[in-house]
Amino acid sequence: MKLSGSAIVLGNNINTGVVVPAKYMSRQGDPKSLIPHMFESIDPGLYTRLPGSILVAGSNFGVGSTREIVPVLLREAGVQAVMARSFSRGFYRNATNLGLPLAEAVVEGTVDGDLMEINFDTGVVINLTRNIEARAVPFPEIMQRILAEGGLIPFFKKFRSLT
Amino acid sequence: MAQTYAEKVLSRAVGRPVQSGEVCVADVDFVMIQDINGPRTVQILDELGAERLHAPEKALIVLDHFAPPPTLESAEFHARLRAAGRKFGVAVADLGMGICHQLVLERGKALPGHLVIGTDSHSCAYGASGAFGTSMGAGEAAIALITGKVWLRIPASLKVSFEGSIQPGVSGKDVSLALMRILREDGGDYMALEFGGPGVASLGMSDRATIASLAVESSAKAGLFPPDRITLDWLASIGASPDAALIFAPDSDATYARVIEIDLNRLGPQVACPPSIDNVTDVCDAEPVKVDQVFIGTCTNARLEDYRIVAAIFKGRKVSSEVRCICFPASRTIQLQMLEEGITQTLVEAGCMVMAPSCGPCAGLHSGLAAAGEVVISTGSRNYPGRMGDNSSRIYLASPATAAASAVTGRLTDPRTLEVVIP
Repeated sequence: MKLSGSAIVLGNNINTGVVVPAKYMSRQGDPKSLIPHMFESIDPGLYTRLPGSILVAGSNFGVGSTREIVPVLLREAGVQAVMARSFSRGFYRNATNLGLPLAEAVVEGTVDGDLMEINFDTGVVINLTRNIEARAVPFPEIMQRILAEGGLIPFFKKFRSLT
Repeated sequence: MAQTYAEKVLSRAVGRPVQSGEVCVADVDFVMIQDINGPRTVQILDELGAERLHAPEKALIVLDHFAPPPTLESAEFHARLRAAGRKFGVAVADLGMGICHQLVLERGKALPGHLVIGTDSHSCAYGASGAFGTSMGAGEAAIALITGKVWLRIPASLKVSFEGSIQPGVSGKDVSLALMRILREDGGDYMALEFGGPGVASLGMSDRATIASLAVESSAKAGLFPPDRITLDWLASIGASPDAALIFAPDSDATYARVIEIDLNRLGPQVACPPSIDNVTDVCDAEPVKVDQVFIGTCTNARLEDYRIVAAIFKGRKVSSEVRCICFPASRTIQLQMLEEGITQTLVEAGCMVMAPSCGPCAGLHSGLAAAGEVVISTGSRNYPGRMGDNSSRIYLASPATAAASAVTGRLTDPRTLEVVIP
């Protein structure tokens, strides 16, 4: 699988409550209504750039709450994949379980709007605008199997077990 | 093979000796479901056609974040969770019973050597009693309810060694914030924090629950206090009977990814300034910012010990006329003890609003949101922009003592500057 998109560059330690604040969780049954609130505390207009994007974050993306609505909303908003120097463990699990592709990789010098491409079969990440290549840290085998089935629930429906 | 405490607990859950880095399937001893992520867990149980659960008696549904429901949608979440509790035979802690982590601890559902998961990030609080508590998403919790199992990577451990003993006016929250100052928000990622050293004997169960619950703020998977005399005495006091075979201690030659030493003798009150919990300074060095609201509560800091400190400060004093102070006990048990000890009377006389047990405004859901530009001193766990209200409001995270002292003076205040004997 190969995905490409326009880079949205984010900093370190992006809390899941910054992706979508907990204060709107009454409305989680209608995820689309939450999209305009995504990233509002750091950039109120950022959500308009999410469709077709690849988020390019620093370390520890997704620290904070372990709400599945966060990867759900990133997908709903049209984010292709999230690339980060590292992920917080709760988000890392949830994103995989919800079928949101992640790449633990760093492409130095990437700025907003650069065209990024991630090849999930080879683990190669490329900034096509600047022609810089990097390699993503491979996922544990169980996560690769969950991703291959499109997420934890399809995986469990097929195997009825975690092994 | 020398093992850390985390490796010992998880070896028992996996059924064979394990070491950090391995990916394993483990047996879960208890599952906690709260009311933000619980509706999704129930939806997934339905989607998977679940008719019965692996061990319904080893689960608890807690209605706490939206307690009582501030919106029609959240009232519907509660209705669905109550119905799921009836259908599957899972106990429901309904409105006013308390905050999920406090209930799991005080009901003796997180025991030494056990693996407990929860759909709330602060489920690492269960490490206070020596359980490996960790958070998982709604889907993983649903599968754990059906199968009794989760998969996990055995974490490396980071040892936090305490020297000395905690000083008057200083409590577990200050210890946590001092640790965040060192670890930062990513310093614990994929790791278990293990607390030890001679100073741990000066930390009671309430302080330990605070410190364990905040492990996740460094992105850690768990925050563990291997059981000692204090743990066992406390378990006996709540009528819990831990399995003697599951009272583990880390091997003396276990390997740690990092060792951090904190001298409790030299630790003063700490404050995490906006916009993040790792932006920590000593209260005595911080700008004495003017305060609009003080919020005392949450799974971090709303236990009886916290309120005894708060009451000592409010005794014979008033909340500043410029400040509103809102207090939430962490459970009904604590609420009753506060009534019995006259704490509630002291707080109300001082001018506090004393509410029923609930997560309150911690996550910005209800009961005390902050307006544009306002300053809140909170005993909670998070202060990213907009957490408790308007995106321009600013949250300072501090101990109950610092919060109460600041409510009295109207400015961020070191509690040691008030003439009061703090228990």
